[in-house]
Formats: sequence, C-alpha cells, structure tokens
Amino acid sequence: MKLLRKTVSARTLGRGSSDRPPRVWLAGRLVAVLTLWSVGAAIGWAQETRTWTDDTGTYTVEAELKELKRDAVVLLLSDGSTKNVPLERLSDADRKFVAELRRQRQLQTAERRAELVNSRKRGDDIKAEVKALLESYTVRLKELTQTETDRARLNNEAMRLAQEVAGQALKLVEDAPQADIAKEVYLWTLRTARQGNAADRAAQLMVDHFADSPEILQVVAMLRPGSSREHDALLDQIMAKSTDKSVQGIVKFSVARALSSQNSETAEARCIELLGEVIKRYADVLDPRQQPLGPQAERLLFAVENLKIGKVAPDIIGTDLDGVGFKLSDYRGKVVVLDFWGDW
Amino acid sequence: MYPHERSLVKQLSDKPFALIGVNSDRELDKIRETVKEKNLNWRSFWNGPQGTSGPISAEWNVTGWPTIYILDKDGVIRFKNARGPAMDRALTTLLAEMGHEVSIEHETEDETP
Repeated sequence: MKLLRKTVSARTLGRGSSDRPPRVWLAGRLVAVLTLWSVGAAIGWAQETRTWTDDTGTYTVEAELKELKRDAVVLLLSDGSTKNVPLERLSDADRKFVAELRRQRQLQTAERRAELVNSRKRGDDIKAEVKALLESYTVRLKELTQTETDRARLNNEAMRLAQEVAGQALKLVEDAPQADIAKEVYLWTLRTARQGNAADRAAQLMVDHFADSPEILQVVAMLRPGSSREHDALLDQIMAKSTDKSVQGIVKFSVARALSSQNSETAEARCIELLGEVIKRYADVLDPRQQPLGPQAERLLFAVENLKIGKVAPDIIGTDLDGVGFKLSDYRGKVVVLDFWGDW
Repeated sequence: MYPHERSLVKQLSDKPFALIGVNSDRELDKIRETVKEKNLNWRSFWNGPQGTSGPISAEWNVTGWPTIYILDKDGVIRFKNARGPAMDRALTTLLAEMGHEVSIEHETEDETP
C-alpha cells in the first residue's frame, strides 16, 4: 500500500501559536463520536502510522488506518485500541487521502478481477486446444491404421505422428508449465511418444515441475539407469526432489539394479550402498508389481556380493533327483557348468 | 540344449569337468521319467516343489531359465550364460588353465531339444 506511505505534514494544529498545548482527539470534543470497534473485523492491509487531523484543525492523533468504511474510518491507536471516526469529522486533507485510497483500491480490485478472468479464459483455451490436438491424434492414427498396410511403415508413421503431436502439445502448455493440463501433456507424451526428443523434454519438465507428485513414477519407469548421462541426471534430480518414500525407494532400487550388471568397482560399491539403504529404509515400499522392495534388495545384494564373475560361488547343499544329498563344493578341483534348467 | 549338454558330458568324461544341474520342475516323478527317457547324463539338485520359486534359484537370484554359471577349479565364477559354442570355448579355456588341451566337437543328433 504505497499510498499510505504518503506523509502528511500537518502535524500540529496550526491555529497560530497559541499557548494552549495541542490536545489530542481523545481528550477533546471528538471523544464523544469515537466508538470502539471490534478488532476481529479488521481488513489486513499493511498500515503505517499517519497523523490524522479533525475538520476543525484543532485535534490530531497518530494512528494507523485499520479499516475503510463507507462513511467512516477505523483508526488503530498506538495503545492498541481502535476508534471509529466519521468521514465528516476529518480534515479536507484526510478526506482527500481517504478518497484517493478508495479509488486506488477499487482500481486494484478491478485489475485483479480482470487478470483472473483473463487467466481463467486463457487456461480454458489451452485446455480446449490440447484436448482438440490429442483428439486429432487419435483420429489421424485411426486413419493411418486404415490406409497403411505395411506393418513396419505403419509403426514408423505412427511414431512420427506421436512425435509431431507431442511437440505441438508441449508448445501449447509452454507458458503454464506447472498447470495440471501441462502435467497431462507430459504424461501423454511419455506414454505415447515414449522415446525421442519430445519424451526427453516431457521427462525433464515432469522432473522440473512435478518431481514430488506420484506420477513421477511414470518417468522413473521410462528411465534406464546407466543408459545415458541424461537419464542418470534425471534420476539424481528425482532422488533429490521427491519427498515421497515410495518414489525414493523405487528410484534407488532401480538404479541399484542397473549398477549391479556393470563390472566396475565404483559401480559395485555404489550399488551395494544403495541396496543397503533400500533394505534399511524402504523395505516395505511396494514396487509397481506390488512386491515389497526389501526381499528383492536382499537377494540382489547377495547376488552382487557373491554371484558376480570373479567371486567364489556360494555353496549349494541339497539333494539330487533321487533324494541323495550332495554339495556343489564336492566338485572343487573340477571345471563346473552349473545349469539352472527345467523340462517345460 | 539336451544334446549339447549330453555331448559335453560324454566328451569330457575323462577330464576334470562336471555338469551340475539345478532342476526347477515341480513334480519329481515326472522329471525322473524325463531324465530316463532322454538319457540325461548329469546330476541335478532339485529346487523343490515350489518349482521356479524354490530356494536354490531364489538364493542365486535366477529369474530366467536356463541360467548358466561356469566355475573354474577353485569354484570361482568365470562365465555367466555362455551357451552353445561360447560354452565350449569357455570350457576349453578353463581346462587349458589346468593343462588339459581339449577340442570340443559335437555330433549332430536327430533329437530336437
């Protein structure tokens, strides 16, 4: 409220240099018209203290404007009490000040309303355009399947169409990247265009604006940890941004699983670290197939620590098909092919 | 599958070599019959009545069949999922490390795997 910063110079009563000390309203004749005002009905506009003068120029008071009523102002005095002063009791300067303030407030309200209407209209327009675009995709895809008989060419054309539409849809929501309709476009792109430029952009936008939404798991499902620096960077960002326990667990386990098939020592160390974290903190998180992560992480940890090339194979103690007990380690000293098989 | 493995076991019978299976069929009776019928000449652990969810394959994190590990004489895992000619090469290498020069050749058999 910049207006309230306007300083008023009429600090004193200015009726000459009378030896009579200036009295304040409270002690003066205006006391009769001042009424107590309930604090509860206050409008919260930021206030600064201003010196108010009465219509006779005799009395002044330092107070904040608490509320602007149709025919009065409510003043907040420094002792915390409030006073209701009819406009007709205010000096010309104060009345002008109040009138200007009222005008500004009305203007602002109108502007805000217009803005709101505009943005709502713009939002509706975008939504309608996106919807029409995605519907046109469905129609064009159907046309394609009816006219193109060659399967490979059909797949190519369908993918090209998806890329094109995804690019246009992303463009439509460019100005409102955090809107719900934008999220719909990102997810549509991930589902339909799957890979390529548009899908990469959609994944990045999801991470930028919706990392903390449950739908981020659809991005996680698409990312192949270790496949590219971009994918790894997105996974790191999701880990850093998401506060969702399931998302954290699933991302960590998925990264660990990718690392488990790499053969570097740093990959192995990071993999073991992540699996330890999953076992400790995310054991009860369910993966997309509704299986808890804990047992899977334990199995993978065992595999990473014991079943990689270069590790001594864990022993197997069991019975053969005739019920005779034996151990894998019985065959030490020989080259062994261990064959997990079944006759089905 | 079966012919290749059968042939390996036969050819390397006088070498420090063993083919050990982990069988994940649920029904023991049935698999015993198959072993007899198809003349499967290697020893197998049985993964138990839970089949592919049995304890051995679970501990070894096996999610696809067949899964193959090749171990050297010290029990160290040296190859994973080397099959067919790749398995032959792996065995040739590991046996050579032990001073056994072998050349593995398979007769073509009529039986389909």
